[in-house]
Parts: sequence; structure tokens; C-alpha cells
Amino acid sequence: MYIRGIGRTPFGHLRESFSELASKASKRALLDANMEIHDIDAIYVSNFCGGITQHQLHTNSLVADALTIHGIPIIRVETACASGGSALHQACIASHTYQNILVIGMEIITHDPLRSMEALSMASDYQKDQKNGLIFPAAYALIATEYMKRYGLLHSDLAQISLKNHSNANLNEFAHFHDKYVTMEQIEQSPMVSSPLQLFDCSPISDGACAVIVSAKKQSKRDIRILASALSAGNLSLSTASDITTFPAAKQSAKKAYTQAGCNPKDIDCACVHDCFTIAEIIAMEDLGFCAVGKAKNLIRTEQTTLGGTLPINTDGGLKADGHPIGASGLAQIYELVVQLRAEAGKRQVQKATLGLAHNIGGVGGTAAVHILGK
Amino acid sequence: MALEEPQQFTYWENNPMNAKNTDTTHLFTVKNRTEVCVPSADHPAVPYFVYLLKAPGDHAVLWKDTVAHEIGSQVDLSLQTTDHMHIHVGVIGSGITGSAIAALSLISGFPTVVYVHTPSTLDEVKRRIAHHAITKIGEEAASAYLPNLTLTSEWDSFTNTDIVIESISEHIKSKHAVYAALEPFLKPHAILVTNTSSLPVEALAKNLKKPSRFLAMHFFNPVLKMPLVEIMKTKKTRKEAVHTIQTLAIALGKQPVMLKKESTGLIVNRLLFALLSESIKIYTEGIADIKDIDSSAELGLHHPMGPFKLMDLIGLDVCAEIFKNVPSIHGKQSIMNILEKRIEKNHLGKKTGIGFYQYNK
Repeated sequence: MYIRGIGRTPFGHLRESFSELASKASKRALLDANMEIHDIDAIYVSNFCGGITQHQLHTNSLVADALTIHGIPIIRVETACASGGSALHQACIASHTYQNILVIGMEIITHDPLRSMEALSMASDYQKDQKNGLIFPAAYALIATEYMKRYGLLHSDLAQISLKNHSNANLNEFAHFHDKYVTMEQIEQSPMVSSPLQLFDCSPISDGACAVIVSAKKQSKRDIRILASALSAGNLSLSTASDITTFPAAKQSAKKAYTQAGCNPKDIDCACVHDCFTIAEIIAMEDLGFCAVGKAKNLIRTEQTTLGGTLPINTDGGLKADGHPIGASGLAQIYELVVQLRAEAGKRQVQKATLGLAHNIGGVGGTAAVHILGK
Repeated sequence: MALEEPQQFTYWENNPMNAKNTDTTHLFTVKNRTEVCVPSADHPAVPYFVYLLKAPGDHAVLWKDTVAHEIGSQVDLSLQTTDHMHIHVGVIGSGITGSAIAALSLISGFPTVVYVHTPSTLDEVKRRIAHHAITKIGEEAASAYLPNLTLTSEWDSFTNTDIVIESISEHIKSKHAVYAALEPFLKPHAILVTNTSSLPVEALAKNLKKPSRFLAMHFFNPVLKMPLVEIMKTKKTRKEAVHTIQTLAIALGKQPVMLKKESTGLIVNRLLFALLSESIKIYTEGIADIKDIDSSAELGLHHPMGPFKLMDLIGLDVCAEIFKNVPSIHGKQSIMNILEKRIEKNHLGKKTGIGFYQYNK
């Protein structure tokens, strides 16, 4: 399976409608693949909050209208924040049946923040979590507190992750915070959201869309191979996790992916992981086997995950600084890996990148999608 | 698959710790906590804490509280479970409000004893309480709770109560008499709350043997619908009593606001009566007609009904009584005149068919 084309919009406060976003990203992907819409014979749509924020479900049909392509199978996939990775997983499975599959993720959540927060909270357990005030920052705050207590991680380590992602976003013209220059002082003095997580520990809410085209056959030198696509479901509520400092579903998907791709964690040249909160990037590094449990802080303190390090992570700015338009985020990770593997990343190019990994999580590990891409 | 439990007015529906086979001990250990500083639609009041608790049976539970508990400390969640059978509530007052409070207590899972002053009205009171319960949760669900209702004209039926809610008419002498009759029968740790809207709480507590058990818990009508409860302590109220009543409010499905100090009229009535007295003043100054003042509030302030319509609903006689007790209004005779003129003619508002407006029967 190959990624033949990629396309996206900037992430941030956008004015376009769902149709316009889907259309823009898809057209760019088709252009990139040197294809027409009529070459597409199946579409997977990824969107999480549309029902609440846009009064819009049946998004598959909306996309059919937006792209003027009727009669082909189009279906929406939803696994909270892992919708993008999950939609891609479905496309990979379907690539035996369809020639060219478009995967399009989009979200509009900046227009009414209160409504959006309500929609976002639906990624957690209603009875056990939501009713007890466990909004997502609070959930990850509990994870952070436990992790920090157990392994001696400091808030300054989390701040370093935030700083790194913001610096990377300054080199990504599509990023939500492309034009925002952030200092460590700003990060450390930002307001408390849910102790100990402060404003800069939390990804923003963003609008945006991202599309990729998957084909069974390689057609050009720029096509990037999908070496692994793995999906696992995990627990919905934080209260049922036996150890809140790790996501078993992520470990399971990672294991399946490394097996499919026939590689090890140390073979990965760059990774896009699900940093909905800075602590999530720490958890990801360990769940993906990039370091031993409790040792992620060492990678951070020795700057191994910056652009110049041995394992650059979130080179596009991650969810934190590229933005988090939920349905599109998982696909934006794929977009970045493809750009890196094509050696088209310009100032944020990871030297000699041949293997990339994308890690997309829903809730607090309720869903985990891991993909490995190679040249 | 078994039928679901009927909807209950507790914060902890379907919480795993409420399963029938949990331990009888309700002590949970605080393993972790976060202080949430950002509001959300369902949790607008910040900051609050979310705790990760470990139950004795070693399963974990998330729990929200406004109070800070240290990590490693234990919290007693006995009032948090939907199974409240070991907490006994007493209600004094069987009018509209008292019977609604009794119904709310019952359908929240508390065995409830209600004091009825006149024994001959016992059946009528029982019917009234049952009606509230059935209206709220349906006949089948209500029938599960009504056996937990005890009606009595004897004070010794209150010996088992843990919390007593007094909701009789707003006369300090009547309340004093009730407290004097009740208190000898109360357990040492029993808490007594008053639903007073305008009487000074310190004065109400004056003759109590144990003033530390006393505070105000103010409901709003209609009790089974209005989400707010104002909780007001006195200087002598003990801390645990305040916390227990706060927890009770939540168990009854309400959102409590905690007053830091005593305030005659608490918060809502002070706001309300400032509005109502000012509306009468505007009228006496000849600035606008009654219906235009009402429209101004409805359309300009987005109030569901304007001040004069609201006074008709509350009852002009009730408003006049309350105005007498509100310090800043007392003596403003021109305001009182507007009300008294109509009260003399028995134009008391909706209940007599005419007040500031006329109402067709």
C-alpha cells in the first residue's frame, strides 16, 4: 500500500465550511498525486465533533456533494481523536478492494468553544468521567501527577517539549502557531489549566482538514510505502486503567506495527506522536519503545527529540503547535511523515529519513492507531 | 439484561462503587488529584478538584469535590452512594415546599420522616408528597421509595434522624418553638438546617443547646425543578456539618453555593428584592407603566418574567412581609404603600386572581 498524494489546509481559526475544507484538502491531495476525483473509488471520512458543533452528521454524504463524486462507497469513521489514524487503517484494509482510496479528515471547533468542549468531553466515559468533572486536561493532569511522582519528571521537562514543538511549528507554514514565537518564560508563567498542566501543556482547539490518497500500487517515485497499519481498542475511563502512566492499546498497536513492518523502535528515524498534552508525548515515547519506562525524561533533557537529535518527534509542531483539528490530526501526522520521507521538508528536514512512525490516540488510550511509513 | 435503575437525583448514578456487593465501609483513599481551573458546560464553577480514589476492594473511582483533600487521606463517601438507606432525613413542614423537599429526599434514596402538626391532615400530606414523587419519576419508580416515608405528629420519631430540614412559615417564634420541641430528641451529631429565606440565622440558632449543628439550606420553588441551593453557615456551625450539607445538596441533585458569611436574604433574595423594590420605585417616580417596566426586564435583561409579574406570582402579601425584613427596604414607605394599597383590597396577585395584573380564572 502506498500514499500517493497528500493535501491539507492550514490549521487554526478558519472560516470555511465543512464542504470547503474537505474540498480544499482533497483537491490538494489529488493535485499532489496527479489524479482526478474520478480516479477515486472509495472515501473514508474522519470527523469527531461535527454532530455537536456543526449539527452535521452523515458527513460521508456531505463529502460526496463537496467533491461531486456520487455512487462510490464513502463512510465516516469515528474513534474520538484517533479518527484520522483509524480512517487510514480502514483504507489500508480496503486497499485490496479499491484502487485509489481518499482519506479525508476535517474538524470545525473554534467557532463555539463551550460547545466544542462539550463535544470533546464525549471521548471519555459519561458516567465515570464526565459526570465527575474529568475534562481532558484533568484526565491528563492526573496522568502527569502520577508519572511525575513515580519517575521524577519535572514540569520543566514538559515545558521543554512544548518549546520544541512550538519551534518546529515556526518552520511549518500550515501550523496553527506558525507565526507565534514562544519563550520558555512564557511557557512556565502561563496560567494553570488543571494542576500541574498549564496553558502551554495543552494542545489548542483548531479548525482544519487533511487528506491522503492510498493506493495498492506504486505509480511514482514520490509514493511512500505504508509498511504497517495497526489499530487497538483500550479502556474508555481513566478509572479502569490499572496503571494510568501507560496506554496498553498504544503498546499493542505499536507491537503489531513493528511486526508488520519487520523493524524495531530504534529503526525509526522520525515520529509524529499524539501530544494532546505534553505528558502524552512522554507516555508515547515509552509506549512506542523509544526508551525504557520512566526514562523519557532523559531523551528530553539531552534534546534527542528535537530536529537535530537522534529521534526527532513532532517535526511539524505536533498537536500542540501544528494544531489539533481532531478529525484531521491523525492524517496531518501522515502528511508530515510523507513530506519528511520525500525529503521535501525544507528547514525542518530530518536528515536521511527512511522510516517514520505515526501514533494517534483517542481519549486516554481508548483507541490507538499506529502506522509505519517507509521510502 | 435487567431493567435499568430508575433515574435518581444523585451525582453518582451507575458508579461502580454503588454496586450491591461493595464493602459496607465507605472510606476511600485519595491516590491522586488535580485542581481544575477552567469551566466547562456541565461544571461551570471553578476551581474544583477531581480525585482518583482507591476503594477498599481495590477498584478505582473518579470523584469531584470542591474541597481539598490531601493525597493519602481518606474520604467518607457514605453520602455519595445511591444507597442512602443508612442516612435518615427528617422534614418539618408539610406545606408546598416542605412536602416537595420530603419527596426529593425520598426519591434520592433517603428514608424520610415528616412532622405533621395536625394529625388529621396526615393523609392529605402523604398524598401531596406521593404526588410530587410520582410527577417527578413516575408511579412505578416512586412506589419503590414511598415505603421509606414516615409521617408523624410525635417528636420522638426524629430520634433516628441524621439531618433535619425545617421548612415552616417565616416566623421566628414558630421556628424557635419547633427547635425547642425537636432538639431533645436529636442524636448528638444530628444536623439541623433551616430553609429560611429572610430570617437571620444567628437569631434562629439563639436558643439551641447545640448551635454548632445549625445552618441554613435554602431551596427554591419548585423544589423538584430548581437546581440551586444556598448554604449559609453561622460563626458557630461546625465545619463537618457544612460539608455534610453540601454533600447532601449534591446527593439531592442540586448545585450548592456556599456563603462565606451570614447574609439576611442570602444571595438570591437580596438580588431579587433589590430588583423588585427598584422596579416599584421606578413606577412611583412615574417613569413608566407597570407593563413597560416588565417588558424592559424581559426584553432588555432576558428575564423570563418581569418584576411585577414575578411579584404577582410570589404574592404581594409575601413580598410585603419580606420587604419588612430586608434592611435597605424597611421604611421606604412609598414602596410599601404600592403593595399595601393592593393588599388591603385583597389583590394579592395570581392566587386571588388580581394583583398588579388581572388573571382570568
